[in-house]
Amino acid sequence: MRLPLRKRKSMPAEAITQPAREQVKDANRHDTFLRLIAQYDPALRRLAAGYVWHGADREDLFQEIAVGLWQAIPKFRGDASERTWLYRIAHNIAISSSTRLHHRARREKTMPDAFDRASGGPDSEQELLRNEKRELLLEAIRGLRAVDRQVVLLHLEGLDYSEIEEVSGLSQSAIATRLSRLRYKLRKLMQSRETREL
Amino acid sequence: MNGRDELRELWCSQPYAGVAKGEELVKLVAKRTQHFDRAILVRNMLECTAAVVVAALLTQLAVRAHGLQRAGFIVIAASAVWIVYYLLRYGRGPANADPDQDLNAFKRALLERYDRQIRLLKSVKYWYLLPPYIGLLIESAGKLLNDAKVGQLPWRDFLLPLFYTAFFAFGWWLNEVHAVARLRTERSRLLSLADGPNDSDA
Repeated sequence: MRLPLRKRKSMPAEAITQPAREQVKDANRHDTFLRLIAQYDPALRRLAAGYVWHGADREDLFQEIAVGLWQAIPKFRGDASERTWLYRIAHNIAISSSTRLHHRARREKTMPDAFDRASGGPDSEQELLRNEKRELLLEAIRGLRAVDRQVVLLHLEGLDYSEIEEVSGLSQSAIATRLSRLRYKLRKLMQSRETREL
Repeated sequence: MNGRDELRELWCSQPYAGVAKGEELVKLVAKRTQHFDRAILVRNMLECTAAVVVAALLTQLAVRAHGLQRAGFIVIAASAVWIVYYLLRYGRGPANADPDQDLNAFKRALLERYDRQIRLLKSVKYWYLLPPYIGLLIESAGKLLNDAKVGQLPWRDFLLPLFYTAFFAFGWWLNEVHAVARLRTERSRLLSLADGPNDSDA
């Protein structure tokens, strides 16, 4: 509800001191951050898994993304939707971080991923098969180039073409073309690795 | 079930084990940010303090010395101030590229950052190494002349220039060869990883 004009006049802007304004800003940032993390925590951790191999690196990347979001919240103007803004920041941080983590990732590429296996808890043959398929999908995704990886990951997270366009800067027709090519490529890659493993 | 749905289902069914959550994550993020800010502050303060100390010390020595030696000390003192000025004025860009932009723009920003760092490292010999090195050479020449005048030429007069020449050569190699090679590797890795949206079917 808007305040009556007279009342607003009697409360000049200087009445709200700078530290008080900062406190309000900090509280808003804090609340926004907590809400975003609560809402997107699983998605951001999945995104990290799409960029780095090792469990410790994933946690590190997740925290780097969290730092990036914390720093970006005050600058958010609402030009894009909150979801696309968040994914844009997360993907860009993941790309720049994975450039640095590349050497470690290559070294550990051949090691079994204890992170997924341990936390998945496969207790049936079907679950085991599913875990293997998921590993193959992750491996195939990590082998893609950044822009392809970004498009696929956003698509798998359920973003529509217009949202992917906002994040990646690609046109919707380019996204459609890329996605059909990439879906085919991923299935092929998974199949070929599956047969190789058999 | 078609392939696309299976992929999505597989993707979304990933198990994850988050270490930090909620308030704990806020604390962690604040700690990381503060740590980074503090590290920059400490580095800047150390550089400035070192420059002031070196400049003060060398100025004092210059007052006591004569001729070429005095000129050498003055050049070294001025170099210390110059290096800090150069670092503060040209050496510090934004710590990171702003991630709130599309992939192509972000890639450009990252590449620009790499290029700026490489340019800075490649010019290290001019603004960082050469000024104090020239100062040291002048001072050494002055000392050599003074000692020659009184008929003494101790081995230190010859060994010291060799020692700091090796030291400066190592500094040059560390910055211009080693660090630049590392940055170039990261840059080319970024290029191969992030093919821009304009390069194929955008």
